[in-house]
Amino acid sequence: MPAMVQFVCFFLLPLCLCIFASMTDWNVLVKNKNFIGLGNFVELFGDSKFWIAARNTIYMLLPIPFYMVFGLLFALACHKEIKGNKVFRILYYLPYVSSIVALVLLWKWLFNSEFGLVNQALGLLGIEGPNWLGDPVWTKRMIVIMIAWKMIGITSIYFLAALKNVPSTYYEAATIDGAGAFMRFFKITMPMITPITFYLFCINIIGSLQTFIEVDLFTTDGGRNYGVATVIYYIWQKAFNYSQMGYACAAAVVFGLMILLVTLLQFKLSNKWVYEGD
Amino acid sequence: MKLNIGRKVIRALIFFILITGAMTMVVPFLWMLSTSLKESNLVYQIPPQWIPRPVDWGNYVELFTKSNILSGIKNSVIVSACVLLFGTFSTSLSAFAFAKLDVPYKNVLFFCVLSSMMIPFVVLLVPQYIIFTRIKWINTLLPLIIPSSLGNVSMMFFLRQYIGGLPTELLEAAKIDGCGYFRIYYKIFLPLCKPALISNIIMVFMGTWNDYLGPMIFVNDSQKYTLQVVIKMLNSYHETQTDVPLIMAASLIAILPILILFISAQKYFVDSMAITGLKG
Amino acid sequence: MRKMRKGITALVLVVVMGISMLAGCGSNEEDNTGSTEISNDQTPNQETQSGDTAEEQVTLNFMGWGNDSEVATFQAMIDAYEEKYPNVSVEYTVVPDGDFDTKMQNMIAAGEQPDAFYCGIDNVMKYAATGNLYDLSSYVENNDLFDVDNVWENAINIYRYNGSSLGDGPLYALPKDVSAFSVVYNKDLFDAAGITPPTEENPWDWNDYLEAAQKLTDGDVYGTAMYSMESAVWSNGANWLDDSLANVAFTDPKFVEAFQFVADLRCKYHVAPSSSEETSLSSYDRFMQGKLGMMGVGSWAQADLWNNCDFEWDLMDWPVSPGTGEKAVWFGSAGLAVSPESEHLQEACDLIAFLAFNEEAQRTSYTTGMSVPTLKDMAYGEYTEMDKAPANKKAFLNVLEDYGRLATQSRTFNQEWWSEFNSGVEAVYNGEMTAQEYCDSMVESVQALLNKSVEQQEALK
Repeated sequence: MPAMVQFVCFFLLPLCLCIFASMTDWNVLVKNKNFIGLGNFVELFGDSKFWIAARNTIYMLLPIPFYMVFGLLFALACHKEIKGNKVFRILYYLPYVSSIVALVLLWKWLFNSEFGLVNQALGLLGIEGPNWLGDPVWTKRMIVIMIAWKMIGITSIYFLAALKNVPSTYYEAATIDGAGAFMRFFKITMPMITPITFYLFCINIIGSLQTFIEVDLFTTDGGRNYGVATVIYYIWQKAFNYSQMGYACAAAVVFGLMILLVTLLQFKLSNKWVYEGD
Repeated sequence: MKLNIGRKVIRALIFFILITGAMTMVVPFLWMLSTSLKESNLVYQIPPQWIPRPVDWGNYVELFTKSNILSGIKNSVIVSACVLLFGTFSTSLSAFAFAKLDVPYKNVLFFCVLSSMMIPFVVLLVPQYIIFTRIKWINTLLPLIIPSSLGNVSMMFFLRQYIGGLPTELLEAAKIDGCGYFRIYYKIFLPLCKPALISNIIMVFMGTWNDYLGPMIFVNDSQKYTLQVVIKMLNSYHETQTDVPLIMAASLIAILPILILFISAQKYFVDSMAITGLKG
Repeated sequence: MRKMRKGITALVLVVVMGISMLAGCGSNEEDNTGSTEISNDQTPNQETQSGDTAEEQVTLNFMGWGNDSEVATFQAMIDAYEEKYPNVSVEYTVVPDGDFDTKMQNMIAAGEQPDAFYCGIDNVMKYAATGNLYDLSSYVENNDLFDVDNVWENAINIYRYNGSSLGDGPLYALPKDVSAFSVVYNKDLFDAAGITPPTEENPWDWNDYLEAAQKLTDGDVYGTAMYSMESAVWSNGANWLDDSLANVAFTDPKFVEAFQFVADLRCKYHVAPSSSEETSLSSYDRFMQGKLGMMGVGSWAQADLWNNCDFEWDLMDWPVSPGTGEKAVWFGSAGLAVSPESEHLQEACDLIAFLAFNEEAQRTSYTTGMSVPTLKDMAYGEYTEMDKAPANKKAFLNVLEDYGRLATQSRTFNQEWWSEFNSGVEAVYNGEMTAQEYCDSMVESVQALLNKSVEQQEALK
């Protein structure tokens, strides 16, 4: 299977190098590395910055439920053949396709604390808008809003594909049996789209935990008091800014294992709620 | 009669919500469009000027004459087309195997493949670079094409979920009719997956099209830079201000192909209605 | 339960595969170490040899960053170089500056580094200590492309590294450019407020500066941007680190005093924009819109000031500290370096010397407002006589000739301690903490990171 070739050559091989490197003092600029055992790991667990970054990373999970729910609602609306749904689909899809560099410039303008549209709108409501770009707490919230906004469209596309896959005969049969719209939704639609829901949960959690580029573009050095930095950002800095590749590998291994655990847990729990076909 | 009115109200409500949502999605892009036609000192003017005066097409002219944007588009198209063509095929095949065939240790294997999404890419960069150097792929488009053509993990996962939901009886029936696995995959499951495939093709296309780090690291020759690298180059003015209108113009050009693909794929979403009727 | 066991089997499988692969990789590592042992004093012998076989066609890889005009200038220089040395052809790669270092590190890890490349000053120590920069000392003494005495001494010396600190020892890079940091002021606003700018003989001290800023501040016009911490701290005779660069020194009362002066401009006297105002519209942009009186400015901004200011502006020297009567500020530079792995050292050295000190190129770069000439005679000659603002170009040159210094964080092996120190300074600028409280709170964590930097450096000796 070609997927396996890809897996071994371009992932497993680098991964092994990385696991090996996590036990060395590898600096990319130096040819030889010294074996230092578990030293990197000990240091990692004692580094408060890593834990700050870990907390910020968990914060990045917040938008997931939001855009999952809205994505589903939007997909249902489109599925119902509402007037102009094709146009809506394109519009909702816009944020997702544009390049992140442009998006960030755009958001910096929108959320500018003095002149931005957002704070001006809040001002009309009599609320004094926060310093979105300067205060790390608000920067984090802004990133969360941005991700949710950006992901609604694409999430709904997945749900839409799943909805199309529900055989219409099921609905017909249910209608004959006298089931109402809500009944039909909870008894037929929901179970039938659980495989995709499960997929979206897994992928989005993995993706959110790896948030990096937004932090890099919105802040310098991870924001005030490192308040916006995520784990990937932390690893990136260690690897390329502070030439501690070995240490970065150790952090990556630990973090990778954490994600692995979370995903394993999800797979375990999936038996309980995911419809596995007949 | 009453019921009908209630329904209309609900429809109108949904419509209204959709419009509001769409507004928040669109306004920023109108800004991008209007900004791309502005002179740079007018960008942050308060209150914002929605219709730029004067309309300045200079940014687009500059883009096409001064930068490598044309070769950037060409390279991005080459890479994306290859990845789409081969990647979709190999991924859907593996997904089919993972979902419906009795491969030993199939779930374990699947999880291993999935785990490759979990290790932060940052630390894999250098090892990958070393490997690509050894096989002399640096400064070609191959590192961008081959690995992704061999399979996309996220897409494989999605298709596995999707195919898993299709009735297994189809497989059994076909087997009895004497079909080989490949034929079953090709004749039955591939067409059934169409809506899922389409949405994934868009995803993969976008991922490849918007990928920046890979091309930046693995390619040296500016003639081989992909579109995203070209855009980032525009943004890299050392210490002085960023030319916002120019970047907005470039970003809009970069969005276009994805949008075109998306719009042309739209009809498949509708088409698939007919196919689903076949089951049951 | 069975699934669980399967999972474990899989993990074991992966690990086994990994170990077997590592055996392969490991041996590769060893091969590398054997063949690429680098000594800093590679004999000039090798150079003369490659010089002799000049007829042979040589291809050099050269990698840099820069905006369109810089790239165009360099391409033109490279063409000129190829004309002068017909046997050499140069492959010029441009990388966005933010990603340059990442790419460079990947290349080094794979042993594929370019023959010649840009090297930012922050990276000189890191690259030199790890043997990735070729020692240019003997080349510079024996070359016929430029006279080293005609280059700003400050700018050359920052590229020397003796194994423990920058400033002396073998030379590892040539300055591609120098950027001086000086104070620019809006002449129109000064006239309106009736302020006479200081002269070189009679410089302002901090109090004069504050007084002027207070006079200038009016409505939405601010007197000054945030003041340069470096200038304040150094001129007050303090520094972030002690002379050994191994211990933090920012609890020194002189440091705290300077720090507090900088913060007070914003939080006590309100003559500088607040931090939220700063994030919405940078002081630089405020100045350009004519709504800010004075700010620190780099020589790289000249072009922008020429093109986009509709008011008169000029430069002044940095104010002196009232305590010491001294002035100080930092200056920056980016270097051009050669890889010791290059097979064509002589040609690569010629290339960077040509690019760094080519008169025509220097002329282009100052007439386009990108920088100040690196060659002294040109700087004091045609640059000073040039008929464009600022009138007081000497303010830039004074920094280079006289009181400019290399930033403290550029002189340590890595800059993590610096980021740590700066991670919370906003609290002081906003008046939530005093400088004293902040400095006291940072000692421990900054020192820990500094130790790590020193440790890394020691490990490479």
